[in-house]
Amino acid sequence: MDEVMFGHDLLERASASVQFPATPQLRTRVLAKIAAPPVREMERWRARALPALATATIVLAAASGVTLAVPSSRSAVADFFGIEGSKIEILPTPAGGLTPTPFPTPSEIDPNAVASSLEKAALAAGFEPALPRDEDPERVYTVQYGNSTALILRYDNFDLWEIRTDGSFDGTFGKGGGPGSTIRDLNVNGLPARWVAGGPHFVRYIDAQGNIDESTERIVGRDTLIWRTEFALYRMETTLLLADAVGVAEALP
Amino acid sequence: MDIAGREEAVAIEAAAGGDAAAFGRLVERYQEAAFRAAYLIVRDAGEAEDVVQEAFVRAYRQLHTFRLGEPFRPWLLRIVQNQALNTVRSRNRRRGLFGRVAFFAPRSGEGPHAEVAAAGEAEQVLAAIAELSPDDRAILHLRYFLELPEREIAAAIGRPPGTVKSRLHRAGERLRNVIERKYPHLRERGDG
Repeated sequence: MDEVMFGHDLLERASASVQFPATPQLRTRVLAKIAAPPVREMERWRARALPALATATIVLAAASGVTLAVPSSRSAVADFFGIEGSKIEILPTPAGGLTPTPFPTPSEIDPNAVASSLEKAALAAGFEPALPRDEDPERVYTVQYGNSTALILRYDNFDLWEIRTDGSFDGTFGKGGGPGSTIRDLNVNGLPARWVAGGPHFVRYIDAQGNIDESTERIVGRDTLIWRTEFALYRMETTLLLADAVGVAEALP
Repeated sequence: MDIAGREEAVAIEAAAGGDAAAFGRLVERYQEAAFRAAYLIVRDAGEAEDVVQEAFVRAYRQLHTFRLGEPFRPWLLRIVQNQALNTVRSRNRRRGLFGRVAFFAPRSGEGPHAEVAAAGEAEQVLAAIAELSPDDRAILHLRYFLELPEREIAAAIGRPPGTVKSRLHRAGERLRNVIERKYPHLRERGDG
């Protein structure tokens, strides 16, 4: 190991003088983390418990230009596709002579959302939210969906929704496209994602038994990127272009 | 195998069988080396801490792939270095992205070059090493800053022990190129 090479002495001096921060004590934290069931086990459990989701993916054809049905007909979902935890509903075009209900004014946020601080929201949700560029959001909200708490992180150009999918969350988020809506199938870090764009669409929460929680229904006026990771389901409602929205999504820690 | 080595082998075998407490002893034994390995790459104490915690969790879950009788430290450090490199890549992607999108206020203060210029020799050497490939970085860190013996360096980089010296030499040459281009004031101190 004493071979003379460029930089040997320089590297020896650097090694002797480099200042390392104090080493943190990690035993307790590491053991707490490995005590949790591995995610893959949870995913297998989910796959057994929610077979409907496993069979729910239907290839979307001619997704653009679908007509929004009247609210009362929203349960008559004709078709849907999606990713686990979020499905996109393609509603039947009303029969001739029927006029769809006009789109309500888009609302910014789930009517059940409660303003919070980042710390309190993380405690309520039971997980540390992924922060774009590790920047604190301008505002933080929590929303309860079934037994799970979702976080909404508001930034200048987007709202980022995060909900853990390796715990008790067992519902789905349904989205319906309105006139001019387009739904694009893409990937975020190699995992399936959807980009809903081109016009307002509605979103709502559906519980594990398939019951629609009408109190969560709202119209989203911005484009939306939906994706999931091994641990979480994300939704970004944004004014960013698709490429930039995907960039934000892929850069999340 | 000395007593410490036998104790370590027992702890690894127990941990691989699901004994978390045994793995806790390995964490205590190697957390300093792991933290320093991570810090050399990410250069941020908080990030290094996160990297090491995640690396230990991954190591625990991959223990079934560890070959008993092999040294544990280089196997662990390889996981740590990979995790740290992923963190740096993710950070760089974010910087690139947000530089383009610019919907966050730019960070205050001067850029990294100004910071490096004001740093001491050790910091500048580390900055020069950071411009090398992951393989070159790894071998220089392992040899000089973590002071692993040749056998463990070989295990960590997944190469035969007989190739370590030549790989170090080539890494040194590539370090020379970086120093000549970007840190010429270090050049005269780098020979030998």
